[in-house]
Amino acid sequence: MFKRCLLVFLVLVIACLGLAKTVQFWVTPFVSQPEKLFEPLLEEFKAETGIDVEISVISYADAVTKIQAAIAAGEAPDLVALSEGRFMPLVRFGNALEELDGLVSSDIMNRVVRPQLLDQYRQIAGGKLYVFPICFWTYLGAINVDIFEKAGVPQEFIDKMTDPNKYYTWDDLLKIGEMVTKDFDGNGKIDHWLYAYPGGENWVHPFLLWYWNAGGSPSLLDENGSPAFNIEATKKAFEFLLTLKEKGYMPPGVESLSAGDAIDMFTSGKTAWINNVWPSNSLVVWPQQFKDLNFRLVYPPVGPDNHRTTYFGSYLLGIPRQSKLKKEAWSFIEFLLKPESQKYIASKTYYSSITGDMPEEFKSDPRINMYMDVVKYAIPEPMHPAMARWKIIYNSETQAVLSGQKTPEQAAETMQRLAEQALEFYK
Amino acid sequence: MLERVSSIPFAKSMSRTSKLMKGFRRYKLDLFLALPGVLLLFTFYVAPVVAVFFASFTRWPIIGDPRWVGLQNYRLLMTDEIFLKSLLNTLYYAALIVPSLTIFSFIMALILRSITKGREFFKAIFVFPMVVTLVSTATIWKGMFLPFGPINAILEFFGLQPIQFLSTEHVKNTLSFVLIWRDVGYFAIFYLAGLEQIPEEIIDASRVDGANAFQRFTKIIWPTMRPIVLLVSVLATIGSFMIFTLVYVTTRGGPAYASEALLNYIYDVGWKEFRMGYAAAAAVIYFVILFLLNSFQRLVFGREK
Amino acid sequence: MAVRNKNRAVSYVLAIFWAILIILPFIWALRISLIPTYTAYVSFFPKSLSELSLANYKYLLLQTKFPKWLLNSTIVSGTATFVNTIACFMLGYVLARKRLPASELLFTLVLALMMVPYQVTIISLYLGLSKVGLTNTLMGLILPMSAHPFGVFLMRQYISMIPTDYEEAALIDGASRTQALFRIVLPQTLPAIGVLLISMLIETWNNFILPLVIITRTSLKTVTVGVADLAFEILNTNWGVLMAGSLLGALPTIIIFLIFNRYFLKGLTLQGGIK
Repeated sequence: MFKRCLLVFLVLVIACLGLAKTVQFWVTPFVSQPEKLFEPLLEEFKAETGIDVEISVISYADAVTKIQAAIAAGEAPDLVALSEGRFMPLVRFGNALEELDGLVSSDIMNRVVRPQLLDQYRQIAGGKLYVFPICFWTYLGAINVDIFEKAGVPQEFIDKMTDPNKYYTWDDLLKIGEMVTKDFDGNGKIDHWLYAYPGGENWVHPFLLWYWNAGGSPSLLDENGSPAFNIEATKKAFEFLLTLKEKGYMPPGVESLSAGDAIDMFTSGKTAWINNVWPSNSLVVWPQQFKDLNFRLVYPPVGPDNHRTTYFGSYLLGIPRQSKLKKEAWSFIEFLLKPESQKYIASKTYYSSITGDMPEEFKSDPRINMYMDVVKYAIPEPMHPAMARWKIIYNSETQAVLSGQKTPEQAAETMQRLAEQALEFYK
Repeated sequence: MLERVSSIPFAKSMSRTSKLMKGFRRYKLDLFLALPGVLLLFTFYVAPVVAVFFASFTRWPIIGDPRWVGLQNYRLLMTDEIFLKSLLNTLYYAALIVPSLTIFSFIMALILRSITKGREFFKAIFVFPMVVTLVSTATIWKGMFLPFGPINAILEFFGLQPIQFLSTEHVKNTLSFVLIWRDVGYFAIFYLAGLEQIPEEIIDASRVDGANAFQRFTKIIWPTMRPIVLLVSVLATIGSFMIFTLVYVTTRGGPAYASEALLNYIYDVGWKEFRMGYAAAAAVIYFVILFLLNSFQRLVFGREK
Repeated sequence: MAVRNKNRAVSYVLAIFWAILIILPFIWALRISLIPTYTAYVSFFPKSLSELSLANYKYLLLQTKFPKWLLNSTIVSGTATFVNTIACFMLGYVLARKRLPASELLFTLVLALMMVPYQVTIISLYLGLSKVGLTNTLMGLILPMSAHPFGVFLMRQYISMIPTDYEEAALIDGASRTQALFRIVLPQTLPAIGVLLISMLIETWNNFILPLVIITRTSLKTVTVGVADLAFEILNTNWGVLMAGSLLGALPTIIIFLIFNRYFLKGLTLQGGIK
């Protein structure tokens, strides 16, 4: 046994030595099986430049843990996938990411469709660019057309939800809620509900969608730079969610639903409307897996103060400072930004290309145009270094409101207090 | 000067060395046998614990340098609502799991004892959940507890109201149940072994002597079982404090911190929020509390003089 | 006698009830795993047998690195358990016979170490391992799990129950202490070693936090981390594959348990007799 162990160890050491010239690339699963997505790109890149790239998939839940551990041990990868909410702590606490300003050519800068986004990344990080996006996505809503028809929701509502020139409000949602949340087959039980709020903790965005919709601060900070949680928008969002819950328009147990569970509620026909659908769900997984699901994508609603928002996320790549293959890593990013690579990624993932290079057929696809349409008012994930704790704080307080433990006022007040306390560590 | 320093202590150290040599010869085998275990334990348990202790006095984002802050972490912990909440949760888990496991596994041992046919079969079934990877168990139970999941379907089938197992009010009990469900059979086997040491004849004889059930318990059963009760309660306490994977896979500490256990908070703070020094301080407190609890158990159930 | 029969009947009813409660979740998981599904809301009884398929298992075994993860887990668990057993037996013996001056002190330390969770020590473990270049290797997983305080505790308790008479008799007969240890003590300790083997196998197979932090290469992951990754999919949860993975990931320990079940239970029984 010992000999075998030694053998395995030796083989590993040799393998490690042999791979020394390989760019280590850590990806998060933004599509299922990302290694399959990147495979042809890696081959092409190798043929072009002779550089090997090895992909390691690290789950969203544990990505930060692993990146930290690797950097602390001096074994950081050469290229790592991050999100808006995740790169700042790495810069702030360990100065662990390479500045990219010197590497980005003006040609690439000119091709980026949303240059203001790069400015945002610079602004939060003291004027320097540490991450570069390769694609991005927005959220849309979706409705279950069958339920809408069964409940007799007038066409007027569906028009309001799907026509870019019209809009629907929170009040409209309440009206629809009343129509769809019913016992249709007469067995004494409600058959479907309006909306399942994914109260589960492991997800960033469900609360923010409502908070921004009610006029909350995009960066979660007020003009003095302190957290903006004990504000009207928080209370309005809480009150509306609570109304949905109290009127019974939400299925039981929402405060403990994970994001996946909430999507499962929609795709299995238990809820009629959902407000956070990635392109990879609605355009890839659903048409394949739920052939009976008759759904339509809809725009986000308009909040009480006429705010219309949705979430915007990017697939950001950063190069750790420790990497010995920074040039190679950057050349791979450049390769991913080439029009053909961008087209390929878009065609497989349905995410939007950062350079605007999409397959031809996408340009006439109304669903994709709808996703592109909401970019105008989509807000990226806040980038404050304390986001990891803030995320737990606001999700937990939302759960406290939904489970009736706290009033919206109390919860908003607690959120503010805890968020400020957490800042103690991020001075 | 040089001479004095080198000569006299040298003679002394000679005698000490020879004593050591003698001792070494005497204990050669023991030292050799103990070495691998001691080496491994010190490298992978003691040293990291010492390191954590020192880290608890620093502010340390793992990717940056630690900075000495004295007792500041401990001071902040005392007013950290979420830390206190998770500490209370952990104690709640222990308060629920430890007595339940101690008692139910005893009852289960009694059941197994009175079964004659198929005892081995039932034993194997009862120990089974212990063998299954906890990540798998947690994942499966998470599905079972979904709002419209199989358990609620069964409840509805019997005309009962569905229950939100992972809601703020029930979540701690639910997760405790899973842990009890997993371990109860394992500990029952411990008790069964003890029970099998008490011959039926003694119990029958005591019946004849007119001893009532209470006397039988205090005079015959308890003395035999006490060490096993101690073992089970100590292991159950350690197990309930280490409820991490279950929470991590099912609820991530939610809703509203209702299921957050101390270890989950420590993990989140240290690894997700770049506050390893703070997490280390929380870990020191975790360790002290667990140690005190176990010492208390030893005092209560331990050997009587 | 009638009372006893009634008791026995009640015992059977309770035992069967509990057995059902234990099996139920696994049956449900098996049911879900036999249908390619992205939803957990699948009716328990299939409409027809043709509805059942092994697609999820095929997917896991052919399309993902699951077999590799199973192999990694096996190597890690197997080696760690093996080293563990030897180290714990030897140290346990020394502590039980109390020949070394600090034996009792060391034993108290071992008891205290049983309470140390990996979640707490993982950071220093990780940094230490990285210094010697063992992160992202299977060796880096094996070493930290190679001596478990519980194992030492178990061995020490068990061996201290074995009377020293035989050992002494053997010494008088001219056997060396090493011979006495391997010919007299070891055979008598075998049942407890059986328990140790299986407990450590379960323990090392289950370890979640250690591989989570130490391993990043996809090809070096262990099964527990692989299953957790399936569970934390942020797109639609693929329930069919998730349940298939959960069952498949537990399969090796289940098989070993079923094979050695009698041995294990016998050992456990003896362990319960420790005073």
